[in-house]
Amino acid sequence: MSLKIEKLSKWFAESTGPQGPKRVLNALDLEFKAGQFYGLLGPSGCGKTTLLRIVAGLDRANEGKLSLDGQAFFDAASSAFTPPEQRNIGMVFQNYAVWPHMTVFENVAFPLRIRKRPEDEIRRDVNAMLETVQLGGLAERRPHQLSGGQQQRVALARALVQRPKLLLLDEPLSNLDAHLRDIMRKELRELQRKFELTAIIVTHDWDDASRLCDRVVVLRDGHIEQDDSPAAVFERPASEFVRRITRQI
Amino acid sequence: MAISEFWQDAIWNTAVVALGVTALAGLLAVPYAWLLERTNLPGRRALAAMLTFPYVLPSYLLAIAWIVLANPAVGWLNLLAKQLFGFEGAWIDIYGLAGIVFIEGTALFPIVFVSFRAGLQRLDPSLEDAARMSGAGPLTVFWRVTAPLLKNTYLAALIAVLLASIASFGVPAMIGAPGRRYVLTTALYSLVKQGSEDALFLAFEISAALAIFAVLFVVLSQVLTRRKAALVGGVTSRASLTELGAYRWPAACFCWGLAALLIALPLGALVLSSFQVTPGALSLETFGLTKWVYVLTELPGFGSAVWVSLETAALAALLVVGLSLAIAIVAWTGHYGRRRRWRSLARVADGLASLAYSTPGTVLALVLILFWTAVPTLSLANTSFALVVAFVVKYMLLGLKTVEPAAFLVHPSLIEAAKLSGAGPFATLWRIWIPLLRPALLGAGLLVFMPCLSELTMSILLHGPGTENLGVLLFQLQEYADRASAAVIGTILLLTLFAFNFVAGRITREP
Repeated sequence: MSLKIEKLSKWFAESTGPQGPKRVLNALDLEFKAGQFYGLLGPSGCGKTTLLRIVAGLDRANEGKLSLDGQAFFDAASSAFTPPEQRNIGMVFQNYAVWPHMTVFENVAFPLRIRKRPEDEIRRDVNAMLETVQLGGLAERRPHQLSGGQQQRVALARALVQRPKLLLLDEPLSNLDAHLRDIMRKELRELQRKFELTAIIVTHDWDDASRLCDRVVVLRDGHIEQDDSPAAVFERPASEFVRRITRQI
Repeated sequence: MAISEFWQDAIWNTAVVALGVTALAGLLAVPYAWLLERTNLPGRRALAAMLTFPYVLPSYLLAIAWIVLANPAVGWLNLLAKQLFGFEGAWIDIYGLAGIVFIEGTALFPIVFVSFRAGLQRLDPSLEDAARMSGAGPLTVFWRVTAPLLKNTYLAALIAVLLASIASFGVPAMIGAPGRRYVLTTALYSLVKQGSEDALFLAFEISAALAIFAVLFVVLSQVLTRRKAALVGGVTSRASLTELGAYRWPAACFCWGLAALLIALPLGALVLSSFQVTPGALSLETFGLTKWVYVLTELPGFGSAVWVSLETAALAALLVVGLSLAIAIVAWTGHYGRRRRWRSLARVADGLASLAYSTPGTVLALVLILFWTAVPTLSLANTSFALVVAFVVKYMLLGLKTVEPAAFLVHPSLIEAAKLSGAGPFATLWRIWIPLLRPALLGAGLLVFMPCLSELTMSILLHGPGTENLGVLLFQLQEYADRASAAVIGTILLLTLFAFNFVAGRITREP
């Protein structure tokens, strides 16, 4: 699934500056090709999470156009807007957002139940997905009985079970310890390849971006500083800002 | 003990009304809360303020207002039908059980609305976002994710409405009693009015049963609210709003229209009717300031009632705030100073306050009456202090629930620093505790002052000649068919409570 962003702008009416409302995203042009792993890299407040939420459909941009596989999911000019539940995009949230009142199985089965799949198909797909994320045997547990890493895998399984073409990840590794981060990075990469997904990860960590991504987009104050492969961004940073980010200064 | 038919009817009516009120309030509150917290309904913040307003009003004001509008003889809605459409006879009659359910439903609806709305505000938005990303539309998200997570909050609020309805006196007294439809509170009142000691003891027995019932529900409510999972989102993003699209303006019209019908219409009629000089036909000539002049200058007992109301409410508020501060500090010391006995003491106080709050006012008043009958030397009967005692006992919980959480935010180091600087206990109290807790103390004071100012349920049983407060005076005027004067006093109370509520909002607003 290819994603195209054209002249996307977002501002909040409440936060105004001397020249009008401060733009969180400033006329961004981006293209995400099918089957690649992209990273949105930048410090807090640079607009990366806002961009992700706009792609998901959870927030709405003020100007611009968003199309997946050529179909416009958002177009400010024509007021076209496809609500998030119709976009078939998988999303993993920073705090996992695993529902506490459902078991692991029910959490992962939810997207399939919504689509009214037959019961035996649900059971088969959910159990297979739980095995894939190495949670086999924990299907009947409740979220509060799981560790952080396990909860994240539930979130991942839930996002993937609906077979999305696009997977969005909002700082999924920030709450994990260094060892687990390493493991999860490898697993994310494997899953992305296995399911042939286009993936976009939002992170402020260069290690995540460089080890996971085929391409890195560095954002600053709503602008794109650089859009290139991790090696290119590291060896030929477009600005001092980018250089500092890649050196974790 | 055989229960006479009179009491059987009273119990039945109480149950029917309570269930009806709970259903009405519960069904209205949820769609409203959802529309105001999760959609882009126009004017939702103003509408929320309007819907919360009846919270500060005594429900009997709405009863008076609806009598103005819908009594079968000269009710305005009936008069309008006659004058505009030539319709003879009354098309709407507020008297009766249905009228009680309707009025109490609208008066108690804010309890569920405020609670459910707060729950929606606290809920971690990513839980709902994740459901939408999984393919669920807004209504499905609500049924499958939001509602199950708020189930306990909702049930606890419904129980609060149920208890409030069972304990309610003013509305059934004005709307039910004229048609001889009694509920337990009004039946107990008529029993006590008989005056005999036998009647008093019978009343006490019956109210004891009522109290046990109330206590059971409170325990249930505590159990429900304890199991609240940590659903508070520590996130910066607010919940995604559902765009109503084509439904936006129809929904707005409906929501605003219904709110206007249930709140603005009766309260507006109440205020207007205070200016009505002659009841009967509706025309501009029948309006004037006559009744206002009469009430303010001539009405016997008005000045005294104002004084009694202000005095008892202020004193009760002061006592509650002082006691709450003391208990809060005890609880705080018990927790941070690891003193088990102090902690238990505070917990007992909390429990007793909770018990007293959920006990119907009629029962509390009867307990006090019985105590004073049994121990005449300590009797406060016929003094205005009797009201103060009843108010303090009843509303203690409001003070504790406001001051205690604020006290727990005070870090021990602040108090330790004071001690190391040489401050003794009194200095610490005066210079550290009170200034730090001032918003909570003021808030608690207002929270107690407002219901006490307009209180009726306990005052009607505890007052003596000369110690009637505004609620009792209003009730007497309504009973003896001086409805216009009652409307004047009702309007005064309405405006006073509105003003105090406004001030309270300013004081307790987060900077």
